[in-house]
Amino acid sequence: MKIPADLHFVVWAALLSTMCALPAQCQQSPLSIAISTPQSTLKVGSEVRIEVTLTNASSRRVLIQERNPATDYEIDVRDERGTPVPETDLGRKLKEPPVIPMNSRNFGKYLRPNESTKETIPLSDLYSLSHAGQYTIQVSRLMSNKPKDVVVKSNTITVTVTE
Amino acid sequence: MTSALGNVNVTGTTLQLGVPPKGAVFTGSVKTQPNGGSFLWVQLIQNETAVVTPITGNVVTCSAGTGLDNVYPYSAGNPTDDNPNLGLQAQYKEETDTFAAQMYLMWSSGLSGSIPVPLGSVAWNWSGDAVQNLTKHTWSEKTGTGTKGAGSFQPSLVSQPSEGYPTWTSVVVNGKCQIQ
Repeated sequence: MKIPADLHFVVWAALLSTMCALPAQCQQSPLSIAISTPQSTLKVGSEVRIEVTLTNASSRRVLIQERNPATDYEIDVRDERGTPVPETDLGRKLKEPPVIPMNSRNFGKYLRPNESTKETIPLSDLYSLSHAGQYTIQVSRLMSNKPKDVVVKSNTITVTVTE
Repeated sequence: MTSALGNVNVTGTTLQLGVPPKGAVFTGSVKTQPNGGSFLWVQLIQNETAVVTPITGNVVTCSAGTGLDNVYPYSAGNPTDDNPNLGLQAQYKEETDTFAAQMYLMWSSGLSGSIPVPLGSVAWNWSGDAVQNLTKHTWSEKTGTGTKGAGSFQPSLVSQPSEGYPTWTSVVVNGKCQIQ
């Protein structure tokens, strides 16, 4: 079977990443993730959204697969004590294995060198941000369907929720 | 706006439209495009239903419902595409997927305080039927059952309901369906 050159690159990048002892220290990952939020201070009950920017930092185009950003990315939300914040019912349901695995939104997208793609994650729909305080947020994404150590992590942001 | 649909097929344990990364491709074009701004896409699901037949037991129908396809917008940039699919599971001997959607092309000026405007949409659909060879544990498309289709471009008009904007009251989420 002939594998397209771009897919070769995805496989190559995945293999390269797996050679790193600590994935977070790998400098060879072709993708980088940056997250931001339009408002870093909000009132309890406000809608909190984060924007995720995925950038191809390599000199080759890279194929990424987009389904639902709430599940394409692993989201880590912690309170001031570093305790993971509980998910909402919706957040839990999204992570449950599907009874029938149907995908309506499912497309591949080639990112050219230095090209970015943005998605929005409705964080307050997925995590219970019902108490005033500071929350730290970081997202990560599997580079491929290969082993779990092929992970790209974002920066960490802080959102302050007030009474 | 034009659309091009791939063929219904079974690849491994997936019943799908087209061959990834391209299934249905939608391309927006305008005769006169203002400087700047950008295209974006919104997809509304009208039907997404799987019917699965267990090796033993009764047929199960599962509907993903109707509404916004996962997120707004569906995607940004031009063109866009979709590879809707159904994962085929070993405990079933036959699985079908029926899908219908409306893909809207929107244009955003990007100016502060502005909102995207709808340019028009295309209705499209596909269906497929996969059967498992219970001896070899492999899946194939039931011969002659795959269908696909796309309507003509329907421009958005202010005379239409919601002035041609896509509207929804529920969201269809990948992997989530209700047993009927």
